[in-house]
Amino acid sequence: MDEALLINIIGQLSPELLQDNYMEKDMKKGILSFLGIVLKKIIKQQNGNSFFQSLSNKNEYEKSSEQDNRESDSRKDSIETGKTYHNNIVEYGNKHIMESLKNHIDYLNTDTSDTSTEDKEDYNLNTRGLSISIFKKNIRNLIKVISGIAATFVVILSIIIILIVRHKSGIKLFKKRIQVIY
Amino acid sequence: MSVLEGGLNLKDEAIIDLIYEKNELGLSKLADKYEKLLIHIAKTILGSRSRDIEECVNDTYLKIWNHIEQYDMEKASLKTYLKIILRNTAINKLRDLSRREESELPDDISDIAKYYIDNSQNVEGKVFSKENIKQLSNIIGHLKEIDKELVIRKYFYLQSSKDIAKSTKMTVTAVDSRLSRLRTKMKKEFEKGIY
Repeated sequence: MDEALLINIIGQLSPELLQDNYMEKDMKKGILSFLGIVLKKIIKQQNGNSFFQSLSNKNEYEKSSEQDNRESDSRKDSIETGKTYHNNIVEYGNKHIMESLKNHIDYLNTDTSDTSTEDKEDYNLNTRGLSISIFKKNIRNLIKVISGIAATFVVILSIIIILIVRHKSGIKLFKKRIQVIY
Repeated sequence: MSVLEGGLNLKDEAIIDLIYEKNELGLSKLADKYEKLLIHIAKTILGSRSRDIEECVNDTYLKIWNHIEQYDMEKASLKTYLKIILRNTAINKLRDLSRREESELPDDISDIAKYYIDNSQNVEGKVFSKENIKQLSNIIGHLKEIDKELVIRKYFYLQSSKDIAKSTKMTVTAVDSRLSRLRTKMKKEFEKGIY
């Protein structure tokens, strides 16, 4: 069948046949992968930039300001300027990221409200591979520590049980010997 | 500020009612809800020709505004109707491009769109009867879900084989060879009048 003819004729098909959601899927994939890339870049910048890191540590500023109490007032002013600069950057960054995320998530939720042709897949961000794991970093670390302790405990317990089972007769003999000695 | 004027997304029924009443708010709500999708589809067909994309989307709004009484909610959703109108408007734009030989095509236009621009004039005069269209509808309706997806993506949305391969997690060669087989199969069924 000629492709150009097929293109012409396919546009006249019944709308019932064309209730697909292929383009919506592509668009969502595109948006999510874009958001993922943006988030990764932001995280990299925040972690990798030593200037940003040093600014982000408020305690360091407080310590340094205590040490520099004897120094001139101009120094304090520069630290204060640094702090406000840092706060502004962080606030702007957070606001910007959250706004763009919110907008995209709102769009994804609202645009697919039509139930007749809707995609049955759940577009929960957690299930779509978006790297939001950094927000759960602390919880994840805690879970890792607890599971490590639990695993160690289980291993030690199982070793003790194996030893007891294997040396059951030996323990009994040892008990008898003690009784004989008494 | 009323609920209608707020930032809430209206349901399709409410949007249609507003357009029926020739209330321009309906059109603006329609744009709020579907513009991103329409631009995405237009971009797939027309490439990065931003002026054409804009014209295409605006024409779609105008068509829905003028012919809202023809919309049958039971047949398909408003979104589907919008997609069909937009797609056919974009195809008309491609046909115009094929007439204007001097116009430069964007690099990111798909292979199938280029093919259509080159060959649309050969099939321009061909008229299809309602029976032919119904027959093809039945043939496509009886295809496997993945085959139907390939055909619709390629010949309705004019997606490139590369993009189809990416979306369907197949290789470009597999997409092309499967589509070629499908065309042969569809042609046979069409000629035999199986459905």
